[in-house]
Amino acid sequence: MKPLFLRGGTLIDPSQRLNAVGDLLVADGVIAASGHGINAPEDAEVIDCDGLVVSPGFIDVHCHLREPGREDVETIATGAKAAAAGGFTAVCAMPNTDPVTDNQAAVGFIVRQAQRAQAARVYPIGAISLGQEGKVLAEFGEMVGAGAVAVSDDGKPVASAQLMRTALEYARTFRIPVIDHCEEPTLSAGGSMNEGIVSAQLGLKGIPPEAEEIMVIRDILLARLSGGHVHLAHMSTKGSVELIRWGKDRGINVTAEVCPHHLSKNGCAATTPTRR
Amino acid sequence: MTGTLGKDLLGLESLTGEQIRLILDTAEPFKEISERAIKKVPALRGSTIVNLFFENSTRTRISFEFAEKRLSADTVNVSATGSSVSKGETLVDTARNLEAMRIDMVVIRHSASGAAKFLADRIQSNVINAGDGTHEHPTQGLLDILTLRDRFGDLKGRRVCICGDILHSRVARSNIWGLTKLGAEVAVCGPRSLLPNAIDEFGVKIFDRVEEAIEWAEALNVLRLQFERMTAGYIPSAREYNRVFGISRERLDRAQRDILILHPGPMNRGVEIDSDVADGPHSVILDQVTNGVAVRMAVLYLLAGGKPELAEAAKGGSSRRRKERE
Repeated sequence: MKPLFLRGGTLIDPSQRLNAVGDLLVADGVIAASGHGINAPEDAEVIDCDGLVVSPGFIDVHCHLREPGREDVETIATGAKAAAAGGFTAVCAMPNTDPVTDNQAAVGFIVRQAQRAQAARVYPIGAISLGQEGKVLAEFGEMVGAGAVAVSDDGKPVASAQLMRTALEYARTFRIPVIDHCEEPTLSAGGSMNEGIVSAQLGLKGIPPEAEEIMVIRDILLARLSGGHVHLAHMSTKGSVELIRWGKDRGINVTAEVCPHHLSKNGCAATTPTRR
Repeated sequence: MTGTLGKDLLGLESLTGEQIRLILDTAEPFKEISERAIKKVPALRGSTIVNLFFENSTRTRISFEFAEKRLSADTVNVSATGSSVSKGETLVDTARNLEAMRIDMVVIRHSASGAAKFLADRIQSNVINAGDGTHEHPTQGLLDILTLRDRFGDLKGRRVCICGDILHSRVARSNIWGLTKLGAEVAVCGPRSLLPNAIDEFGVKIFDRVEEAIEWAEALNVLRLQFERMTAGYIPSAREYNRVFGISRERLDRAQRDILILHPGPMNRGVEIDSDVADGPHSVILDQVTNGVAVRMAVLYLLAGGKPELAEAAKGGSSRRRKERE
């Protein structure tokens, strides 16, 4: 393979505290040199990166590849290719497929389809409960053996505190995070947007921020109780951020993620959780 | 075909006070048509109107149909059951197919808030919202306001309280917007579990106790207690609702002055309103129904491009005919 010379891009790598314009040389599949005044080897393929960002591949820890079940929306191949086109070299696939990814065979199917796609790497996430029904734990061990990197009932909250506690405890054996979709189901039922003056004017049932925050603090307390790692998906309220900070300050193993559309203001329907 | 109201009537929130007054003023001459032996004028002759009702309705559907027929429009009624909707056809496909048959207007009632606007944005025909979910029911708001205006004249400074399930009521929203724009003082009264959390931001007074509301108000618009919502546990029982929030003769008598009683129907007698109040001297509940036809005639006429000053002339033809008959 010819060496690759990326000329004049903005090099960004938080792990190296790097954010500067420079060149980057890749040889034998690894970064051989970076910075200013590097000479491109004669046989190198040179790409002009003026105005472009050069960084380690992004990883999306929360995506929906919808295969099997809703191939009309997305497949593992289309999702993996779209990810690669957007600078993401790896994505984690949520298990709310149809049928649900709640066993080792289903996890193995995703791994094989991802290999065929030959695009971004795909890390499957297994379900917490069989059929995501919130009743019986899925076989975390078998799924991890087949390639799963985490468990989640995403798309639905884990309504039962007891099941969430057990999942966090049991997941410790396999050193995987338990990812929760924080939404208190009786508070959010039927809602389609943030509760407030706009929902009241439009006559749409709103979802109060408390529906998320009640589950956030529950999960943080259960992480403290169980010693497990809870990862909170798509946080959308200021209160949630304050609660996560409270947990982190106390050394509780909690991590979280946020979606770009939740950082913009005052949206409405069509996303879960709603924009606020 | 767009008159001074624009293409559609989707709600009162988007109208100006002037536009609301225009509709009410246009309704005045239309009232008389329904009192004639021959209840028909040719204003909408040749127009085709589809009444698209995806939700049950007695009053509103029949009232619209009478309004259309008394203006000589050709009308077709479509309901969700017995049409392709029950075969899974989407709302917009249904409407586009109707439009392909060259219609002029659609009157729509739908259980989803925003359905009327959704349709209006996608078809060229005039769209009239006959109630969308818990959003708006503009012609009901207009007929309530017309009924109040018949008794009060100018509504500026008049005190109107809307009682009951505000949270789920499209009638409440349309009344709040419409009355406020005409300068009335508006209050709501009901259990807090049936008021939107953001009610403070609507610019209305709030009464937690119906006695205080009666003390304040010159007119009460009493909303139906929606039994279908009670399973969600918004209130414990119809019985307790009647005891705490019901409009009774006794409660009204304590105010020692006349209070106008409105109700958009259908009534649950003995729940939100007692029979002796509903049938009492200050009830204008049936006047509301009568005014509904005139208000809807006005809306149809204006959306079809009719000039307000011609509304008076539009009724000319058949009053002459009546005279001939006499």
